[in-house]
Amino acid sequence: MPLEAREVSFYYRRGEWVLRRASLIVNPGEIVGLRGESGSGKTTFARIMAGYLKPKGGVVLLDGTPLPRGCYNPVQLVHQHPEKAVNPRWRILDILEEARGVDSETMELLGIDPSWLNRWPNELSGGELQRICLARALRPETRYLIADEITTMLDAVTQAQIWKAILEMVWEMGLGVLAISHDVSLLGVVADRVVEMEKI
Amino acid sequence: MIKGEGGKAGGRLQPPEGRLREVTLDTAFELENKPSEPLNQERGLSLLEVRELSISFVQYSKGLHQRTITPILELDLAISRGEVVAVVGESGSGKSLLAHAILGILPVNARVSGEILYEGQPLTPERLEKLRGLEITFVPQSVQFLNPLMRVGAQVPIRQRKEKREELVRKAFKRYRLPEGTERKFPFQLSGGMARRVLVASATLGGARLIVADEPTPGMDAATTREALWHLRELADEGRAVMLITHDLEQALQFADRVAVFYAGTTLEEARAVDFSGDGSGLRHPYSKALWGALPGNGFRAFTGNQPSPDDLPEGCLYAPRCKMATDECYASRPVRKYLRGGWVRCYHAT
Repeated sequence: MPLEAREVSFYYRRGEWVLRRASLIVNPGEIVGLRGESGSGKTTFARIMAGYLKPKGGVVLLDGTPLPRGCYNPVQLVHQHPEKAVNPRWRILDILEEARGVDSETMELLGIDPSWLNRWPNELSGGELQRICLARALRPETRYLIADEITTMLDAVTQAQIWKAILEMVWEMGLGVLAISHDVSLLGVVADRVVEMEKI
Repeated sequence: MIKGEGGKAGGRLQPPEGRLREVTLDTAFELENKPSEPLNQERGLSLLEVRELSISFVQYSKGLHQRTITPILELDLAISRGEVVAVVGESGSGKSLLAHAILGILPVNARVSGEILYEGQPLTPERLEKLRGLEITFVPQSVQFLNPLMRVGAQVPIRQRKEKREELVRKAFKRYRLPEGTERKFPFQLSGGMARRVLVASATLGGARLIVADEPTPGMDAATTREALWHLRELADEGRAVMLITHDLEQALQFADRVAVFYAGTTLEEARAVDFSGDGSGLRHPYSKALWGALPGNGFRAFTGNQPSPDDLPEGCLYAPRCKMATDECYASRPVRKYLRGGWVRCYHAT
């Protein structure tokens, strides 16, 4: 039941290939690290894996079939900048409500303080807001998480906190994770295997 | 060293009348919160001294309901000529706001107490007006600080004749690998990484004596990042003072002389960069040790809890609610600064 990119190619402008025949498999309960420099197409690949972009060639398959449309997407993407991923005019509660609410277990796991729920996004720090974005993405139906530099802008303590929570979900619920980062030492401790962007 | 207690003769401190007090190195180093004392007594007065700075805002939440938030509380920082001081801490620990306070660009409703001294004199709005952009430069975190209606070359703050100015700007932009002709472009014509390089190049090309760089490198590729940080290091070696705000401790340690660890708007510790090594036992504050131990290469140790919210700060030490060593004393009052092994710390239990 893997998530698979099969020979995926993409360009924004004709002739300028960002991805060429990129293939990668993520299995349930596995964390695959994807390392690359900025501008190497990491985010583009993340968006394709989560179904936000349609590849110009190749396919993304979940359990051997294309990603489902018109229902909850079991492949969820979390971005580098949480403040750009939430509506600044919604309270945290409403942001989570859009994802049909979050159970208290997930909140506890991610270290979300219930007092944050009545706040506005600009009243939370980047690390706090990133946890909200993860809670929103990690519903029980979610089977794969695409984590695109999710802790790059955070301090070491918050980074460790967030990844420990994700690891727990991987071990307990068999979540599969594609961890995209430029940070070799981070991928070294969280990923089961690390793949170079240039080699996929 | 206590001021005026230099030589051997008469160097002994006299106990206050009627109370005998044993003078040890530690008590002699205890700071008495006198504004006339330099923050770092070993090195004397620094070029920039921020002392007991607090900043709060009154906000209207619903109708006429007011609440006060205090994003910076009793914060200290000293930066001398010739050094790079890294300011590290979580987002929301007051790093950027401090930079804005130094530059005098706080929102008008900010309530400020404490002191910001430049060359020993308060940085008043009048003085800032003269110094800002020339003697004190700023690399803002957001590229939106560029004026969208001006060509970027014209936004570089140097006072030179036209030809000389253009040559300097071209050279500085070239150093940061900006393509030729960038100086004639408008901000919207640049990518995020290019705009950031323009900001760093602008702040570093003139004769600034204090450079405040707020997260200057995200969005740059690895080579340009190294180049930018090396340039800041070089400028410090030439005798300027550099404040490098960053969330990336590992990267900062490669370029900084000292590290100020911020937490919930205060400075918990000012350490030498070399103190961040090995098992972290050279560090003084439990939070600094936790920060060091949380790095992927140093154990990746997570610990629970969150930074307190600026509208609900604890009475005592701001770190106490998360601290394993916290005692009643820590919850009751905030620790004052204590000198220890060439740095200083705000902790009752620091060893």
